Amino acid sequence: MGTGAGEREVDLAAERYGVGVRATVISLCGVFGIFTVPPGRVPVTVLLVVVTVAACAVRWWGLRRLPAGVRMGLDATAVAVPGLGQPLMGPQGVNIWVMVILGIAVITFQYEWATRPAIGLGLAVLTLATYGVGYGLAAPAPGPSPFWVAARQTAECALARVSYLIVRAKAREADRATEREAAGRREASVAAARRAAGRAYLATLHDTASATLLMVSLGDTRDWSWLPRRAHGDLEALSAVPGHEAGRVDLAELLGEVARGAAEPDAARAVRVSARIDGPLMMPAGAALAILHGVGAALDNVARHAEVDEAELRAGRDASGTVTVELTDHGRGFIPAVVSVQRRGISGSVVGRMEAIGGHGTVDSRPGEGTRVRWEWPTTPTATDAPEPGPPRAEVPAEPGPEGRIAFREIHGRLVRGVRWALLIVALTVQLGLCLPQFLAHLGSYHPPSAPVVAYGVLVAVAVCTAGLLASGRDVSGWPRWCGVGLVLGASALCAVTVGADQRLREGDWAFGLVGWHGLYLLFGLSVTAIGVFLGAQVVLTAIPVALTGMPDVARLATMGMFALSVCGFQFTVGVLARLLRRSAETAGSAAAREEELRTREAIAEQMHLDHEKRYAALLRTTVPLLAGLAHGSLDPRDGQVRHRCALEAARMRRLFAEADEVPDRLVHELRACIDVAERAGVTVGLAVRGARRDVPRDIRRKLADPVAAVLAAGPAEARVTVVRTGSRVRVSVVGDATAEPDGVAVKETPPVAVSRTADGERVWVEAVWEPAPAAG
Amino acid sequence: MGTGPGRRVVQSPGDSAVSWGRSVSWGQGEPSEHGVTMPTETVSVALIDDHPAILAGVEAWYASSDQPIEVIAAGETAAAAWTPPGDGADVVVFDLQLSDAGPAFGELRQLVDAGRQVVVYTMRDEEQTALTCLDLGAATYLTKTEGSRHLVAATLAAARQHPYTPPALAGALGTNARSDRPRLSLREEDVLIEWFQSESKELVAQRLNIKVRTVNTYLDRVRIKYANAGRPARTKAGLVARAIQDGLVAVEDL
Repeated sequence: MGTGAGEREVDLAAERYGVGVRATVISLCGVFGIFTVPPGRVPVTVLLVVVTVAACAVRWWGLRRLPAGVRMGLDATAVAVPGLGQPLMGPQGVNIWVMVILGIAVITFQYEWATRPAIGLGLAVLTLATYGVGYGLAAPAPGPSPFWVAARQTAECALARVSYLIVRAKAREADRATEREAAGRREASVAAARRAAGRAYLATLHDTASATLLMVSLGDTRDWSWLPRRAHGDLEALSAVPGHEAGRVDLAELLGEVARGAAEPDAARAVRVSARIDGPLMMPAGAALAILHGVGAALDNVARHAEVDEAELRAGRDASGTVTVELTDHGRGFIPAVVSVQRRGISGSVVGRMEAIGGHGTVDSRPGEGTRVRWEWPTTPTATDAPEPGPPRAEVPAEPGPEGRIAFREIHGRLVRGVRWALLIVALTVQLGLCLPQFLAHLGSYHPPSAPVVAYGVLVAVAVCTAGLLASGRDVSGWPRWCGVGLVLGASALCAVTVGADQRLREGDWAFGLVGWHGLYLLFGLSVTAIGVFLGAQVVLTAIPVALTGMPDVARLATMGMFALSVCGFQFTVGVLARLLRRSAETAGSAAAREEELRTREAIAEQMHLDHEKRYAALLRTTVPLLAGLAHGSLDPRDGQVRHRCALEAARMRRLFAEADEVPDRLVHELRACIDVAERAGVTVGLAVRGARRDVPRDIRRKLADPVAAVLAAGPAEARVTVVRTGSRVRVSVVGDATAEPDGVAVKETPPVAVSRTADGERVWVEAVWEPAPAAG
Repeated sequence: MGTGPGRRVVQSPGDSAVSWGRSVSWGQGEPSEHGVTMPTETVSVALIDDHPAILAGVEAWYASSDQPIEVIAAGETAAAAWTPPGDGADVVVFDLQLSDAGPAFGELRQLVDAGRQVVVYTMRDEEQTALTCLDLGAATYLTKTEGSRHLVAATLAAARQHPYTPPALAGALGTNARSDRPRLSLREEDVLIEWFQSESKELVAQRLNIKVRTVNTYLDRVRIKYANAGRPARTKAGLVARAIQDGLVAVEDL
């Protein structure tokens, strides 16, 4: 399993910060250390420090360049030299600069070698061992036992490793979430392409039919001889429309058109059809078209070969629900087994085609005894015979709401609060555990003694207030955060000013180590720089009184510096870790939120696509009989009523062609609903939409659609509805012929939607315009 | 400006007449569409469409034209416009949706590059397609629903290298948000959108309280701006040059 980008980033950051913090602390402590040794030991100490600092510097420089073995050697050098060099630097108890160096190294090694924990652990063991050996060789002065130092450092080493594992787990989670999101995006784009192809395919299937119907509706043609063939071709194309189950048609009606067409005086075939059809026979459009096509072919066959001018067509449903159609003639007949190539056409278009779609077809003929062709379509007699309610029109699905994002923000927020709680508890533990005894023991070292009491109280108060905020589910940011930072630094300054010079940056100066922990939970979430600036500010606040009240000797100053470094270095490391954790959590949270949003959007697009397909399938119910009528000559394109039907169908198809949205558009959706109503009343309505989709509030949508509804309700023969969206306006307009005079219904002013009406003798044009406030646009 | 394979030479106004096939090009100083006189030469058309109904309808509409228009070639593929007699047609009326493979932009481009005047004539009313066709150098973009009312005028305008903007195209131009679109005045945008909405210049004129002729001027100016901003093509150059000659736009406007 490869390492994710987030995890790699965490590893790199851990190594960089680990090496950086260690190099800084060791170098500065080394310099300070020179001043703490007896004068005679300075040259050798300088030498040791130079070697140690050089090892750190090369290590920093070689972060990405040196092989692991060399880096490991440098790390070992940086701890072994000061550790083993202790005897050379003279007796000084637990040598403070060596202790600080080794203390920080044990921790940072766990981050520097996070991906190779064995090396990190080995280096830590080496550190403790060299320290122990060096300590043993040097003549120990009285002081805290090195055993406790070693025990503490072992614990710190373990904690460092655990903290890294926690951060890494979060980073891995972030990587998984990002990966899932990327996979989701890939799938979504594939699905979008598939849907677009599906829409294009449906449109293509209907393209020729819509052109046929449009031209019939315009009625400008004189010669209609092309029409039956074309209509047959269009029906063929439509029989490939997916989603037949939704698009059920009445076979009885189609066969009726065939029979009526045959009865027309100028019928193409000289065959009369006596029909007995028990309708309605609702069935899937594909099967119905297959039967219709077969009946046409069989009638052609009768006309050409049977030498009779009469055929009998029966259709009905038997008790088991099977639709049966039978075409019988008493003509010449033939032997089905030995038919000529031409005659194979009939068995192909009957038997083959029926079987291909799951039905059954038989051709039964004997020379001299006529021919019987039979089609069977098994259906379960459900409620399918019930006429379908108008075209399916699912509710526009809601757009992906902010719920998902809120949920993830919630999880993410809980994690961030958890880390903040942890830092807060650390600060309180340090304050009430480590610092309280020091605070009580050294009250007398402060002038006045009330000052440390106030400072101690302020720090506790800040911690308690933060705990209160967290407990009430709020985040610590904005002015509460900066008030807290100000109070904490104020307490630090107060202690720094009032502490006795002998206790400065020693046990009695308990505030120095403590304030940083308070800063960490307050500043959690801000950048690493902010943490650095805060710790730096604290050092400066402490340093100013030192400088003002007269400089202590150099050795004392160096010890103070080392103390400050050890504290700040450790706190800075913890701050960096918290920061890394938070960043991983944020990545994980937002990736997961985006994934969720994507999934919702995808579900909506899928839903819309299904809806779109269903409406195409529903179109078959009205289009197929019309085309069947035109194909079989039972409907005359010169008939005004036929032309009107064609106009209605062609307009419906064009509206479907125009639907290419992946995202629901409520305004257009509502207008389509108005149009559907008008269409059922026989109004031919064109709909054209221009400009990019934009959100329109619900009450504005109603005000924009109302004039359209009013004009359409007045019952024009034809109407054109348009939606135009420009950068600044949404314009909905309707043009109807002048019979549709809405008598002021539509021109009622409905602010903020402006309605205008223009009419000439023939047409009335009503437009509703909404100009959203620039902020909304 | 490339030199395509076409034999047609359509250049700046004032060029001597070039004739091909049965058509006769328009001589120097010929009055514009907005003028009074109308040439009576027959305009020849190659119709590229795979639907018999369209041919039947188109011929019926052309028959009603004041100026004779004749379909000299018709076919289901662009080949009909490249081979005699269609290669000599003044105007190519071109169905964009010839196959299931999507809009035939490549064929359109080839025709335009050969200097042909192409009226795109399509079942689909899609704004992005309209803009693309215009950008490729089509003379105009017409939907089949607009055919009965606009095909005759669009064909004549194309033959004369005059701008012609049917409502569906006007809607696409009025809401065009592409970054390279020409800058339109507010009034031009209103005229485009209202022409798209109402499909009636009389209604637009009445609404905006201007003359129908002025409505035409606005539409034509927008079309010229697009021609000027679009891909270089001889047809476009001809359109712009003709517009300057007719005084529709001044050189400094462009």
